Amino acid sequence: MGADKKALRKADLRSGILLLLLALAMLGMLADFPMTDSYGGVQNVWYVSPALFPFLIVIGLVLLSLVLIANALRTVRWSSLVENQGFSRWISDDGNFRFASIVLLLGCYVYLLPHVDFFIATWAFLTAFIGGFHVDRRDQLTLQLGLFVSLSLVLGVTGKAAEIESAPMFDIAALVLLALLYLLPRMRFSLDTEQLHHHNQSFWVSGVVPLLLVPAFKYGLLVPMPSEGIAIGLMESLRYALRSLT
Amino acid sequence: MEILNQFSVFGSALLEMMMQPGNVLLLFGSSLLGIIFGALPGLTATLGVALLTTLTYGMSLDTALIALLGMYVGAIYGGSYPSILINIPGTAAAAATAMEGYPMACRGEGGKALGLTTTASFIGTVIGMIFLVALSPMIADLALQFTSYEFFLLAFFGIIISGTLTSHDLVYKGWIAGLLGLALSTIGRDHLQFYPRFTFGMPELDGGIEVVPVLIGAFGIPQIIHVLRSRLTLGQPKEVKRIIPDFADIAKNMKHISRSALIGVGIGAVPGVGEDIAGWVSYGTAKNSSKNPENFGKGEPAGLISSETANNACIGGALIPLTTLGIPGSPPAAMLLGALMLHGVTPGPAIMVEKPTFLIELTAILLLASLAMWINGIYLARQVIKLLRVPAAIFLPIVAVLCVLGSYSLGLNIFNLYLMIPIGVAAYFLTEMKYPIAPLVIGVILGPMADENLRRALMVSDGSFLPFFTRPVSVILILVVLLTILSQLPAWKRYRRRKRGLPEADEGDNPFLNHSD
Repeated sequence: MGADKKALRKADLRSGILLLLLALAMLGMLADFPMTDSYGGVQNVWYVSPALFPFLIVIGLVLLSLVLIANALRTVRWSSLVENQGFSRWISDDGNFRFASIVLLLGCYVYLLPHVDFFIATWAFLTAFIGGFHVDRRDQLTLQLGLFVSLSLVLGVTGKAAEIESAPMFDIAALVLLALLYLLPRMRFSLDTEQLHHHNQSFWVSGVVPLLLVPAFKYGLLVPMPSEGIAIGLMESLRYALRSLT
Repeated sequence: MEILNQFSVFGSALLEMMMQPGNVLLLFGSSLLGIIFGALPGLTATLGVALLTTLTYGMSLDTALIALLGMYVGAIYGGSYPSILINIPGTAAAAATAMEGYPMACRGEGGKALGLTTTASFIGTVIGMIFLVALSPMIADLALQFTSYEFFLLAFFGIIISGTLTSHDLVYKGWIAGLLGLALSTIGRDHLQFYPRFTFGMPELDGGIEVVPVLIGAFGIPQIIHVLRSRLTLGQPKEVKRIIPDFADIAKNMKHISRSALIGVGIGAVPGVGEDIAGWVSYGTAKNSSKNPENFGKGEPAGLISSETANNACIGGALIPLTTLGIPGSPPAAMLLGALMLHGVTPGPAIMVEKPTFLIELTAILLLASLAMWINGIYLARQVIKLLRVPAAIFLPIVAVLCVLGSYSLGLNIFNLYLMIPIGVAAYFLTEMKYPIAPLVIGVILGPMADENLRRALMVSDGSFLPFFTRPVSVILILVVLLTILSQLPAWKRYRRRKRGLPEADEGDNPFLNHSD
C-alpha cells in the first residue's frame, strides 16, 4: 500500500473519530428537543417532532463513521492517532506555513472589517496577502502576516473594551499598518530587482482593487460597505463635489 | 397547436431579450466573465455563479438569469483554454479535454483545438437545451402526482447518488458528506414547529444557514488555499494565432457529438453529478468505441470534441431536475437554485402552473448564452489567454476579497462571513481527505425539503411507514437507493469483478471515476 493511501487512512481514522464525536454531540443536544411533550401549544408526537430528521442523520453518521474507522484500522493502528510531529515541525513545512498564513489572513480580515474602513482594510489585507505570496519570501510573509494579525487583534480587543465598532483612529492605525507593510520589507530585506518589482506591483494592485470594487458595489449595486470610514467618506465627498459640478 | 404556441412564446422571448441593448451587453459580459472564471485555475463555474448571484440580487428575474446562465455556460467552456494551452484544466469539467487538446497545441494546432472546443461546446449546450425543453414538461407533469413520500425519497436519492458518483476514494465518504450537508440544513428554527435546532442561543442562526455563503465558502476557500499552498505555476501558454472553427472536423465527428450530448444530458440529469464526470465518461466512451484508440492521447479531435460536447450538454441536463423537481443536477445548478429562490421563484413541478412560460424563457436565454459563448470564444479567446499569465498569487487574493464581499452583500450580514470562513476551511480539509463537496452542497439545499416532506408524509399516515412501500414511485425510488447502496458493498464488488475476470481492485477505487486506460 502506497504512502499516500496510508496517510489517507490515517486521516480517515482521525476524521472518523471526529465525525463520531460530532454525531454523539448532536445526539446529546437532541435529548432536549420536544419528542412527545407539547411545544408552542401543540401536542407533539414522535413523527412530527423536530428531533426526528436530525436523529436519522445522527444514526447515519454514527454507522458510517464506524465503518470508516473500521476500514482505516485495516491499514493503520490506533497508535497513529497520537503520532504527532509537533507544532514547530509542522509549521516548518512550507506548505503548512502557507496554509496557516492564508487562514490567519482571511480570519483577521473578516475580524477587522467591522472596525476599519473597508477600502483601507482591503488594501492592507491584499498588500499582506499578495505581497507575501507574490514576492514569495518566507521572511517577508512572516513579517506581513505578523503585522496584519497584530493590528487586527489590537483593534478588535480595543474596540470591544471601549465598546465601539469603528472610529477614525482605527482607520488611521490601519493606514499606518499599510505604510509599514509597504516600507518595512523594503528596508529590512535585501530584495533583488524582481522581488522589488513584485513587491511594488503587489502594493499598487492591492490599492486598485478596492478603488474599483467600492464604487462598483456602493454606487453601482447600492450595497453599503461593512464599515465606511475616512477613505470611503472621502469618496463620498468627491462624488458629491462631482455631482455639484454637473 | 400547443407546439406552435410554445414556438411563438420562444420566439417572442428571444426577440424581447435581443431588443434590449442592456440585456445583450450583460449577456456578452457575463459570458466573457464566465470564460475567464473557467480559464483561471482555482476558479470554478459554481463560484462564478455564486458571486454573480449576489451581484444580480437587485435585478429582475430575467436579467439575473441572463447573467447567471451566461456565466455558467461560459465557465464550463472556459476551462478548456488552460487544458489545451498549458495542460492544466481550468475547471474539473475540462480535465478530459487536456488529454487531446494539449498534444494538439504542442504540434502547433492550438487554434484549431480551441475552435473545435468552442463549436463543440456550442452544439452541446444547444442539444442540452433541446432536451430540457422536450423532457421537462413530461417530467413536471409526472412530478405533479408526487406527494411528500416521493419528494422525501427523491431528496434522499439525490444525496446517495451524488455521494456515490462523486467520491474519488471510498464511496461512503460521499454519503458522509451528504449527511453533513443535511446536518447543516437542520440548523435554525424548523419550518413546522419553529423550534430552534442547534442555534446555541444565537439569534443569527434562527433563520438557518444561508446557502450562498456556504457555497462560496465551500467552493472558493479550498481552491484559494490549495493553489497558493501548492505554489501552482501555470507555465507559459502555447502560442495561438487564430481560433479556427474547423467545421469539416465537426461534421466528420457528428456521431461522437450526438453520443456525447446524450451522455452529457443523462449525467447532468442525475442530482449533484456534474460536468467533470460527463466529460470523462464521454471521453472514455469515444476512446473505447473508436476504430483507432491508439490515436487517443496524441491529439485526436474526436476525444476533444466528445469531452467538450458532453460537459456543455450537461448544463441542459442539470436544469431538467432543477426546473421540474427543484433538485439541482450539478453544483452550479445548485447555485442557480439558490439564485432563483432569492428572486422568489421556487423551481419544482408547480412552476409549470405558476409560471407557464418560465421554461421557454429559460431555453431562450440558454440559446443566447451559447451563442454569446461561441462569439466570445472565437473572437476574444486570444485576449482571455493573456490572463493566464497573471500569477495565481495576484488573482486568488482578489478572489478572496470577492468571496468576502459577495457573502456579505447578501443580507448585509457580517455573520455570513463568520460562517463562510470556517466552512471554507472545513471544506478544504474534507477535500484533502478526499471527501467530495458536491453531496455536502446537495445536502444543504435538499435538507429542508427532505425534513418537511418526511414529517408531512408521516403526519398524513399517522406515523405509518407503510405508504412508502405501497406507492409505485416510492417503491421504485427505494429499490434504486437500495441497489445503489448494495452495489457498493465490498462483497458485491468482489463478485462482479470475479465474474468479469478483472483483477481485485484497491478498496478505494470508485469505478465511476476510474480514469485509467
